[in-house]
Amino acid sequence: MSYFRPGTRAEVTDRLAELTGMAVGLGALIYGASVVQSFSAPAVAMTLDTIRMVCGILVLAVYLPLTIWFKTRFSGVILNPWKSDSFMGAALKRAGLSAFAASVMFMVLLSTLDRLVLSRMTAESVIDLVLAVALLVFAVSFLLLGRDGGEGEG
Amino acid sequence: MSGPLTNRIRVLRAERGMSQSDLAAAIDVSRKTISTVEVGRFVPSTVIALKIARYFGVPVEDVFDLTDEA
Repeated sequence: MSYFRPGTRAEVTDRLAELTGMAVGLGALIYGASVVQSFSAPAVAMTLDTIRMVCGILVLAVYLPLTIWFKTRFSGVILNPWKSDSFMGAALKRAGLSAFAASVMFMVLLSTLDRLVLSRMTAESVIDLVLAVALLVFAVSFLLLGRDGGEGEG
Repeated sequence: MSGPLTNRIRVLRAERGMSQSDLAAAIDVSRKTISTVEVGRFVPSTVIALKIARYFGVPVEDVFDLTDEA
């Protein structure tokens, strides 16, 4: 049983959860680069543009096909890691909760800073920043929560 | 995710000569779920707890136990 050929539905659902975490991490990079790009010099901005493009291509060319392939691996059943009772399913839900809490707290912080930050940024950059924070917190939380703290095969 | 919940899954598996993967496949969960439940890092849902107990043919109280601090 290799990583790309999991034998059971439960293992496939775990792979889908891991893929979701990775794709969200790439999304965080895309939005984070977009925010930095709006404050950087043209040379740096070009590099960031390339990073965004590579991340976008990875999501479209790797994440989406793999997700579709895994989801349709067992005919007649659509696997959904969010509805799974598994350890990885729980990690996914907890990471989502962390991301929601972090993004709300971050927006409250932005609003309490009054015009210190918001007056210096465009609405587009503010939205990108909040999305970057939310996606980053999700990806990091999932990475930490989803680490296998159990013991190996025994 | 750890808590005051202990379990005897490792013992029950050992008595039957089963690996984590065997048990995981038998009750349709991933090996990672079994390994994290075994070490107390993950508290399983009621459904998974009942599936494990039913698979071993014992009451759920014989698999899982609450420690005194609960």
